[in-house]
Amino acid sequence: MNPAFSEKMVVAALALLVVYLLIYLYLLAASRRRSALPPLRAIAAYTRLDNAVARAAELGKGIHISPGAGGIESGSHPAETLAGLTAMEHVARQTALSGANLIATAGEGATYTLADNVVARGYAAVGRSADYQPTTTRFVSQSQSNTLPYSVGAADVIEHEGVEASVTIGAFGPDYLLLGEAGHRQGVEQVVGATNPQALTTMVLANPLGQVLIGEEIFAAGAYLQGRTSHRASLVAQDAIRILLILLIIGGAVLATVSPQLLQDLLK
Amino acid sequence: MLRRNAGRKDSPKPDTPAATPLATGPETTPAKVARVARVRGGGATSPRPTAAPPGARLPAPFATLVVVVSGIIALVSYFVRGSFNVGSVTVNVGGLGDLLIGLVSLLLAFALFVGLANLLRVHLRRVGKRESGWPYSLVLLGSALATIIAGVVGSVSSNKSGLSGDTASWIFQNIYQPLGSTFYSLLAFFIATAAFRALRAHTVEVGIMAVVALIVVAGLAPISQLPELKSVADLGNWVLNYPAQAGVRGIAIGASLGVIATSLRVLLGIDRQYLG
Repeated sequence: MNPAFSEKMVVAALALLVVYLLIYLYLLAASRRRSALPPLRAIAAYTRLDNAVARAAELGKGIHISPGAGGIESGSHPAETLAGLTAMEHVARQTALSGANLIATAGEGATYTLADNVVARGYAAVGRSADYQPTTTRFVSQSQSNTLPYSVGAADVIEHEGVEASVTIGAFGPDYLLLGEAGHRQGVEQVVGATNPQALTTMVLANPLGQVLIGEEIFAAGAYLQGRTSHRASLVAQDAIRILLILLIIGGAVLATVSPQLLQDLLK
Repeated sequence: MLRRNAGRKDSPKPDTPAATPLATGPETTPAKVARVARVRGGGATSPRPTAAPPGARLPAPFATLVVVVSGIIALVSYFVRGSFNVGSVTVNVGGLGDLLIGLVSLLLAFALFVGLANLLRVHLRRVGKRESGWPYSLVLLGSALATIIAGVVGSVSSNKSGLSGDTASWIFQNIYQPLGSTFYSLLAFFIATAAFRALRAHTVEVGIMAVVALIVVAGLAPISQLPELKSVADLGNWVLNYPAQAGVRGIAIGASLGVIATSLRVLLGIDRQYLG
């Protein structure tokens, strides 16, 4: 059998290659001149996250954190799950240092094993491995069809485990509202984020005062919480590519208005 | 996302969390760091020597190599199907990708067992210590056990994989699905209460949200199908089809860029914190 290329796939591969190349160039430049990276604008949700951990430690209460019901295989929002795990690593370090109780939940078997690893590493990184308990990270449920069983199980943790704050950044569905309402009933401070528009709708409704990380903001966790140079360089690259895309969209809109035929010929 | 034209002199080393775990975020103030550190009496600026996480781990370079090679093969196999002849050797890229995806499914099945073991551990401990809500844990353990037995016995007797057999199907159709529907129906009430609460926030964003929601609800209401109210329906549809779609696409484009950047960092072996 000979290799098969479809025209659409070639175009998609080339586009991905160009974007990869741009991001790589920024990563390379950042590794050589870290001081050239611009500062980050404040995002209220990330600021509140640190405050929430501090308050939980002071009150002797716990923190719930979750990357959601996503997994690591294709189609289960792996990038969102990894973003949630990045935030989890930071929170695990902070809670280990401050003495706040940590409860991490996951809604998929592989995500649970990764989360367990991330939390254990967070405790170990600050020299408090002894404080880490195997039940700190909890597998809640797994469903191939929807995220509802996870949301129901995690809502129970928020409702009955006496947590002061809940950090839910990752792959969530519209049923996030079960967690949000459970948190509201218990007076739990919530820091939330997702890319799924349906989940974001319920997140904004449940947290109207700005603790919501919308879309791409969840991928900035490594830059904001851990100050990783590669993550900050990625943000600069994403901004540059976004500007290019905006220019393309505006150009396309102008062309579609002025000469629709020319645009159609170009797209062919 | 970024504010330009200014440099930071205190950037951390590449791809390693900043040296002081509590002082990592750009917005983390020294006072906050000290406050958190005081609670424990530990030092935010002087953590104890790092200990290895529990459990056996793969050597980091080997694990990174596995991730990078597997990732590149899976990515290439997505775009290229079929096989190449490299000298006398035939390389089936698509087949390699399918093999890796099959291996992932196998790993996920094992990971599910690890997760189930954790679930049992958490709830058995709760029952054993008679913690608050322990009867619910007992119900959970009994339900899980009954479903697993019904599924295994059913699949063995019917010689099929997955959730099969009369009892397992009965549990799924008569217990799981009605419970799921019940929780979904609760969402309607939760949306109403959350929306009411949001309206009390009195911010500009909430005001815009309320006006837009009113337009869309009015446009979708059956009464807007009357000829006299056609413009209301048109306005509601316009909001859904243009401003709302544009917003969703904007979020999707931004999120896609984040996904691509994340995948590149994983493929290059820069993000390795999940490898143990």
